[in-house]
Order: sequence, then C-alpha cells, then structure tokens
Amino acid sequence: MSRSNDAKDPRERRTSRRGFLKGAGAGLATLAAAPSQVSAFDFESFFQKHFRELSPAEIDEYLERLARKLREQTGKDVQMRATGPVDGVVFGYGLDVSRCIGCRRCVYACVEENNQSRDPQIQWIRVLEFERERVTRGFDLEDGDAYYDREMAPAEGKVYLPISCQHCEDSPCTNVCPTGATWTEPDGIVVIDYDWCIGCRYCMAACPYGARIFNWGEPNLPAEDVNPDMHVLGNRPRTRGVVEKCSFCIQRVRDGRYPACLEACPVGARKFGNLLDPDSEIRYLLEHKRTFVLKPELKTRPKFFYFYG
Amino acid sequence: MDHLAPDRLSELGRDGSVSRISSIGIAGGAGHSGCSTALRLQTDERGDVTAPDGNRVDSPSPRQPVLWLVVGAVITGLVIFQAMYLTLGPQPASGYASRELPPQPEPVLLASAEPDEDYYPCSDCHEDEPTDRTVRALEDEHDELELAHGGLWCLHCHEADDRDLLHLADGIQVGFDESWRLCTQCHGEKLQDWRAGVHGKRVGHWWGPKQYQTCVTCHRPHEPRFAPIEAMPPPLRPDPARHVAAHVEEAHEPIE
Repeated sequence: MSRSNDAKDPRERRTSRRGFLKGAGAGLATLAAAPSQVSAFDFESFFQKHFRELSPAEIDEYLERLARKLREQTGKDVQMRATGPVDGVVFGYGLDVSRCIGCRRCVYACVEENNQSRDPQIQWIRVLEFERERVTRGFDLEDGDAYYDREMAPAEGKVYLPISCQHCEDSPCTNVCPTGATWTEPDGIVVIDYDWCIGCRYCMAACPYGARIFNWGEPNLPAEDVNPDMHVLGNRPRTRGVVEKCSFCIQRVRDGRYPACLEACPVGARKFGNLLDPDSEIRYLLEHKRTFVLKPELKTRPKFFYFYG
Repeated sequence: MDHLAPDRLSELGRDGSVSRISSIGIAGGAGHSGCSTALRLQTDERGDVTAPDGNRVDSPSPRQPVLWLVVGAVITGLVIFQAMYLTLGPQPASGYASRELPPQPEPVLLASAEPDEDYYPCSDCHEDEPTDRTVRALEDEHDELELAHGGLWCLHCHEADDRDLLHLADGIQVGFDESWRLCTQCHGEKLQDWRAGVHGKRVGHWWGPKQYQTCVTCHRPHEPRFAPIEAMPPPLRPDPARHVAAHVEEAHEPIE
C-alpha cells in the first residue's frame, strides 16, 4: 500500500512539471505573438487621469484626443463634450405605468442615441411584461418577463414596466466601486469614467435593479450608426471589459433637451425634469399622482419614479 | 483640505512642536488619532512640553526615546496616509465651470392634427343637406366610423347649423383646431395634467423651447381608446453555445 503510494508520488510530480513547462511554453508563445496587439495599445488612455482630477485645460486635451481617434475610426464629425452640471438642477424621471404599452420604442431609441453595441447586443432599457392580476399589490421584478415576443403591443391582460438605471441618491454601485470609476454628479446623474473602469463588475453585483451591463465582447457599432454628439461620461463608444448603463442621456439633458427615450415614447408615458424646480413636470407628477419607486425597502432612494397617470 | 474646522486648528496650534504635528494631521485629512496623541502633550507658560500627569517632558531628551519614537512613527504614518489619500482618495470635480439656467420660454404647439381631408370641409356636402337630428346608425356616409366614445352622437359635438365648427355643451362654437376645449369639458383632470405637461407627450427641451400636442394628435375622437401598435423585437437571450465558441476562437488566436 505504502509502496504503491511512494511509487506514485514522483510520477505525479513529473507530470505536473511537464504540465508547468507546457504552460510556460504556451505563455511564451503568447508573449511572442503579443506585439501585434501592443501596437493597438493606447498608452495615453491607459495612463489617463481620473476624470474628476482633470483641470479644464486637461479636459479639453482629453476630449480632443478622444474625438480625434473617433473621427479617424468613424469618418464622422464627432463632437466630444464634457458639459458640466447646471447649478440648482437635480434630475428626476417619471414613467406612467398605466400608459406604457410595452412597444420597446424607447429601447431602440436609446440604443441609437447612446451608441450601444449592436453585436454583442447591449440595451440599457429592459421592458418587463407582467400579468395584470399579479401586480395588484405592486411589482415583483421576479415576475417580469423581459423576453416577451409579440407582434402587437400591448397584449391583453398584460402591463409593462421599463427598467433602466434608477440614478439612486444612495447608490450601491458607486459605493462599491474600488477605483472610483463611477460616481454621482452634482445634478444626480450616476456616471462612469470608462477609462477608470477595471471591469470587476462589483457595481453589477451591487445594483438591485440589474441596470448595469458588462461588455463581455468587443463592442460592435457600425460607423454609419454612430451618433456623433457625444459626452465623455455618457454615450461615447465603450470598449471591451467596461460596464455601462443609462446616463439620463447626459449629452442631451445637460443642454436642456429631453432624453431620447422620452421623445421616442408614442404614448407620452415618460416624463423628465428638474426635481428642484417646483414648476417642473416631474414635480407636478410627484405632487399630484400616485408614485412609487422600485425596491424602496433597500433605501437606495431612486430618482426614477413610476406613477399612475 | 477643509476637514477640520478653524477652531480646531487654533486649539492645536498654540505650540510649535504640536502644531507641526497637527498640521500634518490636518493635511492628511483624517489625522484624528495623530492629533489626539499630540494633544496629550500640554504646553506650560515657559513653552515647555508636559505630559498630562504634570511631569515635565525634557525635550529633546535621550531619556525619553520611546515617546519620540512614537511621535516619529505617527508622523511617518500620517505622511504615508496623506500620500495614499492624495493618490487614491476622492477628488472634487475641478473641470466644471459654474453654469446657470437661461430663462424658460413658453411651450409651443407642435403641428396639430389636420382634419380628415376626405371629409373636411364638411360644409361641402352638408350645405345643401337637410339636418336629420335623430340618433341613428349611419348607413350611407361615415359608415366606417366606429362610435365608441361614451354613447356620444354626432351632434353632441358637431355643430348642426355650421358643419365646419364644433360646439361646447353651452352652445359656444369652436373650430376644429380648438377641439381640446370640447374634450376637456368631460376630461377636466386630463386638462390639468396636460397643461402641466404630464398628460400627453412633449418633445424638445425640459428646459428651453418645447412642443406639445393636442388630444386629437394621439386620440381618435370617435374611438379614443389606443389601438395596439407594432412591438419592436425582444432582446436576444444569452446564448451559452455562442459564448463558448467565441472564447475558444479567442483563446486559440494568439498561439497560431
């Protein structure tokens, strides 16, 4: 018994040594093949300072570099901006659950506006379909079906709940980010610095709404579909290995415009405005309508409000 | 760094050696432990440092190496902490200039729905027709209209004496372009929401020029309930086989 064990051990060791050498050989081969990829390596973006540490002059330089690269890649007149927040503005979103018909026009308007990857497919908005009977005591997100496939919307006896980033006041995703790559702006928008995201996906685990999407593969966006109006913290094209999500269309709303999903909605179910302005549309619906937020028990305090119009 | 209030600064800064320590602690942003160690030393009138129990500390004295070792360790720790804090800690946004909102203009009407060209102007036909006011099913003309609006009949809204106009409940005549006045006689709460921009769709700017629409842009007056519209395709389901294939391809690429 012990003899056979003694005889076996050195053989095992030999095997593992051979395995090691094989692995090392493969590693060296990878290194040898690496230069073709290194040529595409961008030292400047690798050593890019965190967005919030940049001075105005550095931001200009940064934007110009990003825009130049994208102009070469897409052949479009890319305008890269870093428009800042406006004083006295905190954004809020309202969605009329009683009106949404689940047609998914918002989803595709968002994809076009925000330069989401077409293949692999990335969508920032998910529309969940529920049985009307099952939501009489509120929406349990586990009951929702995001993959419903229908020719016409709405289907009989169904209700719909589109979900994207809730832009929480106490956002779990920003709290767990180890590099500070995601944070809440002064106007309440939760943004991501794609150069500082290391792809650890802690934020995705932390987000109770499943609003964050990871780029598992190299994003694929045809040059003719690129929206050239870009914000550095919003819809500029992402790379593999970073997390992305809804930014309230930061490139639009910081210029006073409505988000793209709102303008695409055929039934006018989507509302947007300044929570600090008592005359805004969002304040009106908060004060006059029955509203709710998703998973209030988690105390994330979303700024995305659902209401019954 | 503004982590400590000025009064705290003055409290710490009476004595040269102590203030030197405390200033590092403040610069470090969280040097509370360092400050409390430093505060345990007190300064008497002659400027000599005494320990809290009243014993005079002979400084700098070779007989108290442990104390100075501790102070040195604290200073070193704070310097390291400050270096880490400055490198890794959150930084305020410096790249943003302060911006203010421009004045808000009034919403403007987006192109209103045009009256049906097949029929309008109504007077073309109805001018010479006698008016039959009896409520009946329409058979010769307008028979394609599905009247599904709370049991209303044509002349509840259309003006019998001038067919190119509508009329309110109190007989006031309104044009087709003001049909929302007619609708909101019954749907008053919708009027309030619509004026506030919460019922109906607005496009343009949340702050700035925006366009609104009237009732009949979206609702068919004779059959106001929305008809279902075409749904867009669902998202692709995650496909494990496809993912595995992609990774295999990727893993083999650099070796070849």
